Amino acid sequence: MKTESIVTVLQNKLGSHIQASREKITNYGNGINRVTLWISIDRESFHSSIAILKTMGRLHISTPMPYKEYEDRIELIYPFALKEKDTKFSEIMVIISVDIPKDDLKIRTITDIVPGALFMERETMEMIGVEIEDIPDPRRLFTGNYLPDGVYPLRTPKSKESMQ
Amino acid sequence: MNTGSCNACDIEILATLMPRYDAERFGIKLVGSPRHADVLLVTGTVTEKIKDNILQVYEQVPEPKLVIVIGGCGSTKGVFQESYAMAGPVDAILPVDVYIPGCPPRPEAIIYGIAKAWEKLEKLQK
Amino acid sequence: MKSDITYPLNIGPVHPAFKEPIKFTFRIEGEKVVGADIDFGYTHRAIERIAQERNYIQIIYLLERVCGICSFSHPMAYCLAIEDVAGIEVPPRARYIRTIVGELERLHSHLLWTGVAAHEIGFDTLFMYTWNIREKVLDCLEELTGNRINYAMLTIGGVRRDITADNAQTIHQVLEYYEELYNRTSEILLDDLTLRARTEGVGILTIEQAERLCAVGPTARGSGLMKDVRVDYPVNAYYEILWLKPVSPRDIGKEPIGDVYDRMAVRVLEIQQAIKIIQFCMENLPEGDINTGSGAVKMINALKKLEGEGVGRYEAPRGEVCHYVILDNQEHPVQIKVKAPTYSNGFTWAPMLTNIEIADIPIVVASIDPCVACADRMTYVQADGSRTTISWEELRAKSIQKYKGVRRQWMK
Repeated sequence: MKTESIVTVLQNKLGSHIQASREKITNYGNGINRVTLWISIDRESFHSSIAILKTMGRLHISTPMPYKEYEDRIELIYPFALKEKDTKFSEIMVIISVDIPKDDLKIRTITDIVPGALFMERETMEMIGVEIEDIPDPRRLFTGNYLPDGVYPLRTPKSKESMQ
Repeated sequence: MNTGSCNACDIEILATLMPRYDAERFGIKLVGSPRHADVLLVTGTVTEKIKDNILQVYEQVPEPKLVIVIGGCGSTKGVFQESYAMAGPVDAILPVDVYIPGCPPRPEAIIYGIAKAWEKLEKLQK
Repeated sequence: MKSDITYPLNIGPVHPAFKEPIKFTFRIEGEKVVGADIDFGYTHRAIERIAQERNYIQIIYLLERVCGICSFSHPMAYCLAIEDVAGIEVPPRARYIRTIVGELERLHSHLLWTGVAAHEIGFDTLFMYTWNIREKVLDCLEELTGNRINYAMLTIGGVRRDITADNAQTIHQVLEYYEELYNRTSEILLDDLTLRARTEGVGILTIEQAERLCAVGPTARGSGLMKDVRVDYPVNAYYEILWLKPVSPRDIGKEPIGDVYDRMAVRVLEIQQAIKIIQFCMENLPEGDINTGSGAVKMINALKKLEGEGVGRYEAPRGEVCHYVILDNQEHPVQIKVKAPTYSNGFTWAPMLTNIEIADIPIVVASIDPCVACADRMTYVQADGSRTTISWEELRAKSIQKYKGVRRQWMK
């Protein structure tokens, strides 16, 4: 599958909501490529873009969401693996990133489209402190009750000392 | 019991009981419930979430009882020093009698450690 | 007669899985399970958080301790991710050695799983048998890497130890040994009537469910979903093995329905596949360097000047391991996200465990290979507020009883 066609389809449907995209192709000879595609999408059309991706092939979420922190916003990164057809080495990584302003840390759940993402969304709520709206199961995934509310392990500068 | 280990120690404990090392020929047997045990094997450092459960299990073991820590991270916290989720090495929670270091310890080391504990248990029973 | 009362049944949490022991809460109706809920986090050790304070080389050894059974897979995915960011090209010999060690690990992990699965249904002879033959591959790994478990074989840009002529001979001996035993073992596992009776039609995960819930590894392949990172995404030497394709129960002439038997068949077939892959790699092992030649300090200094993100994916014995790293001109990655196969597969327990008997819980739970290696777990049954306790032993006894019952039926 061509990465341009993914970007074009998304752009046709969502227009300027697609903020940026870049790709990285590593060639391994014999026509085998490792393809990674990064797409930035704004928060309003994030949910519908996942729905569009889902129609293109087998959509698998690969890791829990990492994030990048900036002065006033957080960039949340959703790494998907998309496979269109059953040929070898045709799976490409489609990495969707969404900007979320820090004073309104909320994003809509994608579990209605990719049910397997539930654990990852629960972990995101717990570790990064982004609120997932309409999540079917908002409990903490890992830390139980021993961490106080409002402490997000991956966002604290020093681990043990500052938490105690 | 596993209190936060990576499984490596657990599979080595099982390997100890398998035909190659065959610890059962010495009369060492893995039991399915702490109520039947003389010795509690603990692998891994203690995480915050499992802290209460390990105390419960310890209380279920009948007297006289011993605790053996298997693995480097159970003895000293090992590679997980800075972790926020750690309640401490096992000896911060339970009275430990024998430490078997290693990551993971070899089955021979585990048999040796259990033999040491056995000697101690015999003294206690007198 | 249908009873209106359902009981909660808690299993765990003292139970080892990948990063954490798991606690199950079942809703029980008579002998049937009608609902299952899973609670993670009992061995959550904050590895991702610790990794933010270690340098690039130290992290390899930290990640090795994510899981003791796939202690090759996690550092593998991490190294692939870092190499992806930095654009490091791995020498061909190193790629082949990585593949060989990875497949030896798969061999040991699948043998371990078959043993555990046999133990869960009370077939202890098979348990002892597979764990005994598993010692051979551990010996081989020890000779190759220096340790039975936690091999410390990998570094960024290559591997740390070469395969010498002596090692190669050992590997050939081990492969011969397993080839001889394979027929006998697969016959026990795939054709034994009692084993079939206990595994067929139990714990079904349909292909649609597997796809929706993002199942990975043998769990997905057992349901007929052709998903294998080695074939979907080019890593190590796998893309040079042209005949490689995902294993499925169709290879033994059975249409997959996603029950425990299918998942077992996939693992048994993968033992054979692993032997073939190692043979291929040994025959085609190229000469040359085994790493990029720059030492740890030089590597850290080079990575310190980098900025960017990378993904590393690898097919561990139990499914896809995926690491995402973000570098930002620092001595340590600013962020590293780890996903173990059981993390994806944990979700598939809910449909699998629904509508099965209590006695089948152990084998269904074990069927996705969550490293149910240690037998130390506890079970509480709560009925009408009063609390009775049955031990894991008793639950297993129930399972064994069923096994014996099934065997008696077949004897007649």
